Amino acid sequence: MLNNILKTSRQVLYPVARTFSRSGNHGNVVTEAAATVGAPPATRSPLILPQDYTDCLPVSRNTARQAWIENTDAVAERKVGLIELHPDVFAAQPRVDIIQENVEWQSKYRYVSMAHTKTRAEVRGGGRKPWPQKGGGRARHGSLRSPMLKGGGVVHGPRSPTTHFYMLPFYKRVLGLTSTLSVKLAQDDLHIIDNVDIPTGDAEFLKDLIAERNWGPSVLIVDEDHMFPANICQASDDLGYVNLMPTFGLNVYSMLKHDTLVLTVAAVKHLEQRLLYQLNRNDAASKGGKFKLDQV
Amino acid sequence: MNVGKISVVTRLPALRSCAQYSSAAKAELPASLVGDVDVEPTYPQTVDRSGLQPQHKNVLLNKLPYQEPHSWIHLTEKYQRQAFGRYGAQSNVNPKICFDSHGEKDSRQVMQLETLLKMLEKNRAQKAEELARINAREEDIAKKMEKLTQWKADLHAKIAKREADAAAAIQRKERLVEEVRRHFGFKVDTRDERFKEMLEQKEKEDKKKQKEAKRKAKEEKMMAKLVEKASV
Repeated sequence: MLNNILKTSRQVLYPVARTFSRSGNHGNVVTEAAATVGAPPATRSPLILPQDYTDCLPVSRNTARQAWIENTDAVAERKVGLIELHPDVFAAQPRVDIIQENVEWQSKYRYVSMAHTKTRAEVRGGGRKPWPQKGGGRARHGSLRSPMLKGGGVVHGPRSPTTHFYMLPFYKRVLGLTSTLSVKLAQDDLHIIDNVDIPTGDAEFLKDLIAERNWGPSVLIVDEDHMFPANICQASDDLGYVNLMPTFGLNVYSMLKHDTLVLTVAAVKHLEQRLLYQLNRNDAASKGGKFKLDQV
Repeated sequence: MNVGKISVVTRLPALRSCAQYSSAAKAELPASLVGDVDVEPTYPQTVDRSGLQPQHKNVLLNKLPYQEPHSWIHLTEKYQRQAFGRYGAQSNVNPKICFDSHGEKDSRQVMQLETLLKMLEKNRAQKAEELARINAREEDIAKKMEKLTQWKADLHAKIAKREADAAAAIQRKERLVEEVRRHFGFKVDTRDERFKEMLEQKEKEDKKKQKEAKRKAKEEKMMAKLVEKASV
């Protein structure tokens, strides 16, 4: 039944739906309100977005995923459409070990250790020979700051700053993204909205929306563009557990830190396009080399 | 991101809603809190949520990172060429600096191309010069080969003279020692003081004789020259 809907609406609705989703991304609040007032929401045509497999054929088409497209103009949930997700991006076999490596890399690569010990040359004092070389019966020592003695220097201790930077291989980062997106979808922690325009900048609206739709204790809202409308920025600024992010900043750590991942339709399309490009590029060997600090 | 968190009252939803909907509660609040309620941050139409530095965002959007130079590196010719290559006319770089990127030498070589006839003439001149140099060296060698026999004879004569002088000196010394011994009439040690004194006297006399001999030889030479002049 779902396949029939997809087949019949593939040719007819795809261009119109794409235009609608793109143009509605940066819509003005006033125009949105006018549109809402002008036409009742129930009569708007559903947004059916089938997947176009001509460019990137998936490994297995049987594992294609579908997800509802939800509204953002009211607290009550209303499904405004249906989108088919590419299986190579959203139905990949989850590699939990690679997800863990990505989280560890994102924690470590920016960490600089400031632990600092002093050598015997830097510890204050200890210039005088503590006791004579001969005739005393004690072991010979030249300084009280020797590493062997209490209060002396430290040999091979930490010397700050020590960077823990390293770069994870390129395709581990790519697979980390596809695995995390697949895990989020499989755990039903991924929601797709048509755009990020909300009718008011009040934090209560966003809080009620999250509570009504069971979006969990923390939410990450991802859009394709890095310029977000004023209302959602104002509302999310008052809530510490709601964060906004453009697609180029999407990463494994942030996806796992937030309980729910909310993507716009434009963000889903952009993510699929970029990740499928990386998975199918014919110069993949060039990305496998050693990371250079001045590479772009 | 942190603009909305500056105000304490706005972060407390219950207190804010209470202050918003109840005029009686507003009277009870202190003046500072009441003032805070009225002031809220204003947002532009769209807000940047990329979290990037402006120059990094420009790189991401494929634009010139800095509108004006921020470092000496941005003034180097290499950076300017790179900026023009990457961002085109937007980079405000004079494209003239991209011309002649291999240096002056190539340009000079390109501009100073010669005609075929000139090249042939230059090549012929070079060959003639080389040949002349070789001929001069060979002539010099031939002259030296002609002189080789004479040089050999001179060298042998010089060697013989040196050896003869050395032998003569040795014989002279032996002769003087014999004279001194015959003077004393008995065997005298060569290290004896009397022997040394007598040896010095004999040496002086011998030097005088040598001087006289040299002078006579010189006079004979001059007489021979005069005779030759008179005969001519």
